[in-house]
Amino acid sequence: MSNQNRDAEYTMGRSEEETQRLIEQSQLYDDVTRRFFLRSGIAKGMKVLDVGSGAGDVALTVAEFVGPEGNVVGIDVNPDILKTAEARADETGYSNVEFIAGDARTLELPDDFDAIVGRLVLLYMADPAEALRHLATHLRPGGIVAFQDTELALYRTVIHPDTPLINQLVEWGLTVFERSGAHLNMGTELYRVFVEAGLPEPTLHFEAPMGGPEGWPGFEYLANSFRSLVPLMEAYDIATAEEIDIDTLADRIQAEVTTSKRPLLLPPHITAYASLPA
Amino acid sequence: MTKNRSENPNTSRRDATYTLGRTSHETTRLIEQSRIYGESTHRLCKRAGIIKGMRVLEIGSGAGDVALTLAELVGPTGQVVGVDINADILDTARQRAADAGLRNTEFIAGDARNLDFFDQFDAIVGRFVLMYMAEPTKAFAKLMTHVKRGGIVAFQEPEYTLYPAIQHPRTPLMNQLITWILDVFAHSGAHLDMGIGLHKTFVDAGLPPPTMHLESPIGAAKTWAGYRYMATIFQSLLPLLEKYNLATAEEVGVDTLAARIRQEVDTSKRPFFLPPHITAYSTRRS
Repeated sequence: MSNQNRDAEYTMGRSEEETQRLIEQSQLYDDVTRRFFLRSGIAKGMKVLDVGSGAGDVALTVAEFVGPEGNVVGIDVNPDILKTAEARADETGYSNVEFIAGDARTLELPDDFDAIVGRLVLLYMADPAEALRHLATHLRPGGIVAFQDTELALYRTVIHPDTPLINQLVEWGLTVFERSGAHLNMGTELYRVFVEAGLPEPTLHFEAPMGGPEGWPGFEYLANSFRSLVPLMEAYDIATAEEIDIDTLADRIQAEVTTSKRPLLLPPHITAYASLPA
Repeated sequence: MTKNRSENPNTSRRDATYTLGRTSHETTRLIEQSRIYGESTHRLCKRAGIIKGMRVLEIGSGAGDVALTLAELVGPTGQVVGVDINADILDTARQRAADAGLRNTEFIAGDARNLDFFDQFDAIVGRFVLMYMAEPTKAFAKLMTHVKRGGIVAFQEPEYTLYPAIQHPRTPLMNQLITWILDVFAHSGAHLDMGIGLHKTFVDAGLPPPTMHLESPIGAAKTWAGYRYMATIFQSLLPLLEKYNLATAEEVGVDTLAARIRQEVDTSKRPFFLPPHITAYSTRRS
């Protein structure tokens, strides 16, 4: 983990395409997140804080879990993307979801939440343990802490002579995340971070979608992830838009899977949850 | 690391020696294994579309855990036929099916690649079984003849080649265990990359590319069952580890292994990973 005192630059950028990518991401990982919330004990009537809401997918899933008698407060440092999150909550007819622009670590918030959740957010924080320690002060006794993050470092092992394109993408992807200050091993660090934050030992789970069949959204998703990464990749002189050739990327990845007969591994996720002492 | 670690040992025409042995301890281990991997098998079968009333063939039944899961999914109007080359372990499987009050489950001792069935099945399922077969692609093509056109094909296999990715300077014990596991499976002739290899295996048999998931049971809490399960894996592996001169019983220290793993997790603050596995499902083209 990097020791710097500053948060990562949000590696994926803040474009409209990035908002779309976040929604696609949810289609691929939603199943993992739902099982995770179910196991962690998030239930009807709860009041839940969602850290790093983005386009609102996690907050909307939580809203389903807590039902109309519960409520969800979603927070994101990017006020623009919260407009999408709010619009989606309205479309779904949820009146119990509220979004607040700001930094969850410094905002004034109530201290009676039943649960705090976050997906793919700690990896961008300068000091995830300190962040969790502070966030947990907003929980009631017995409250749930449930975070899902990625273990990008595992990607190094999928390098294979038959998959030059994937190998190139892995190298570019890991380099840009590292340069932006994100924690490549946030998934495996979740345990340490929980314990250092003074939380009970979390229950963990590890999973990654792979593919893929015809019509699988994973190829588009990976290509769109790179679309979001292009600005920083160019800023850091890692690769040019021309080299990345975004518009044909999804097709080229799928073609390589077809030729190499090696399935595409999407970013592995680790989930961690624990409950405070009652 | 031995040099055959990364090479595919699959060129052999013979099946692997069953790396984990055929002891009563191994039967107990298989049942424990199911407590840890069973949830993802259940999810695989459900996602693949196995439902009430189906007739399902299960390959490599062992102590019967997957067959029991399937029997529940297909219900009393469906049927499960489980096959294993080890006739002895099927006594345990039959007993467990009887204990569960199942009448829709039948076990046959034999090699599913050579058996003939009356009728084709609605689905075929296997867990941790292709990894031991010589030329899995050929074996798989044979197995497909037991499935109806449009039928469901669902397999779950380990992926040992990804396991070294979690080795870390702060976890010497974990690193050693991973090295031993990879070496003993490679020596026994098992396929270390059968999980990732499922894609190729399906496609080469003319099936559409499968939907896949990589999973690994992981834990770090004091109360996690995985440390003890890892020790039971090593108890089953010990005879071959010794036979191949990879490790001695003293070096492995099965009796204290679970406690030492937990100790290392506590010191290193790194979660412990059980062997990664990959699920894959698709349907036979109609």
